[in-house]
Amino acid sequence: MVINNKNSILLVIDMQNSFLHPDGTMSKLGFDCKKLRDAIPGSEELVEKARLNEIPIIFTQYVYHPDFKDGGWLVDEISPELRDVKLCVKGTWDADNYQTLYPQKNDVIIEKNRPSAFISTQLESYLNAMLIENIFVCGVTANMCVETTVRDACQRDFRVFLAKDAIAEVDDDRMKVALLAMEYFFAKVLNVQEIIQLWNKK
Amino acid sequence: MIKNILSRTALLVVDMQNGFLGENGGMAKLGFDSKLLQKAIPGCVELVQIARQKNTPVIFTQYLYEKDFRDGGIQVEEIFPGIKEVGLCAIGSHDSLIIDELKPKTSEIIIEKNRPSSFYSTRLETYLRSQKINNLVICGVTTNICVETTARDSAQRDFGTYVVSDAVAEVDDFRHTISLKALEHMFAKIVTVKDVTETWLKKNS
Repeated sequence: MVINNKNSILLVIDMQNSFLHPDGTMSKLGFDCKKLRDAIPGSEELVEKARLNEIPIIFTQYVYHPDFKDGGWLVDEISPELRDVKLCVKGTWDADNYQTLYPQKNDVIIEKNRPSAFISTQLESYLNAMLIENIFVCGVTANMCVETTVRDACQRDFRVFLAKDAIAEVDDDRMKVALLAMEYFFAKVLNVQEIIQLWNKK
Repeated sequence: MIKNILSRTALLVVDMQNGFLGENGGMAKLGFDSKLLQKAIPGCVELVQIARQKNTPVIFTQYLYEKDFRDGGIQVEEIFPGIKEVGLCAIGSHDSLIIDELKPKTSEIIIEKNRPSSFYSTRLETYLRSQKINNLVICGVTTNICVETTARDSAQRDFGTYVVSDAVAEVDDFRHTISLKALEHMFAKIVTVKDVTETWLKKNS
């Protein structure tokens, strides 16, 4: 296994006001954003240490068109309430990154309108162009956008390291099974400190 | 009655192979209880039978690795090397064959894959688009891994995605139950064999 800070990135998934702020749309949908905020301290620490170790950071943002014409099956048929509360509409405060996890000038931002950060986005071409082999993952929500992205990354033969204490989910059972499934066949599951130790050794 | 699956719909039968379902298959050799996965068989058999009777296309996926597992990648090399040790679903092996009860007809499409998703690096999507198929009814194994990864991909590609709860199975009951809950949360309509067959039996064809 070859891990160095040149062939690794930190992928910060959907750490947006919508999911994390008490005034965000997830709270309007009746979900407890307090649970999702569990991912904040770990993600902040990973971002800070990634910058110190010169590991590139890619932020994903869940972004829908204002009229949700890009919502498709997920919005039209499964969760129409996303449209009702206007979840993560492009250009709104809701879609913006949470204040303490804000991208800086040299970071890459990947906009997506599906749970997977790989579907219809530039993520894969960035990873290939940057010769990335290892993806360190944090963000929300564990069972939805994080897990879908991790399944896709691993199937594309990127080595995934999941920061189990820097991800969060609104439902405890789904959090448990997300970790079980990802560890079973898609990722190496570590905690934030173990990841930072890996980075510091290089 | 599920109106959407009356037309432009295919039945996708995921990985119903000896490697997963056989008592001496690769999964059994890895220590998993193949009896738990066999629970998917009767539902799959019924769905395939009614689909054929009503001219709904049936598509089978087949998990296949090269004999030396050079195509296994990170999943085989680093996460689950046991797969290589037991020769799970190696090309040409008995393990890789679709079970006798669900033997594909020569006219039916078989999608070979070497990753959990039936969409990744396969010809499934181009086949569906060219046939103007908009909806997938998904059955097979295992619920939390290949079925769920495939259903997530299907939904994100905007196919109407229907997962048949009593025609899928997993080696772990908790992962089975919560997997269906996760799919229902954002990706798929969860339906039963009865819902699907009753709908298809109303078709005129």
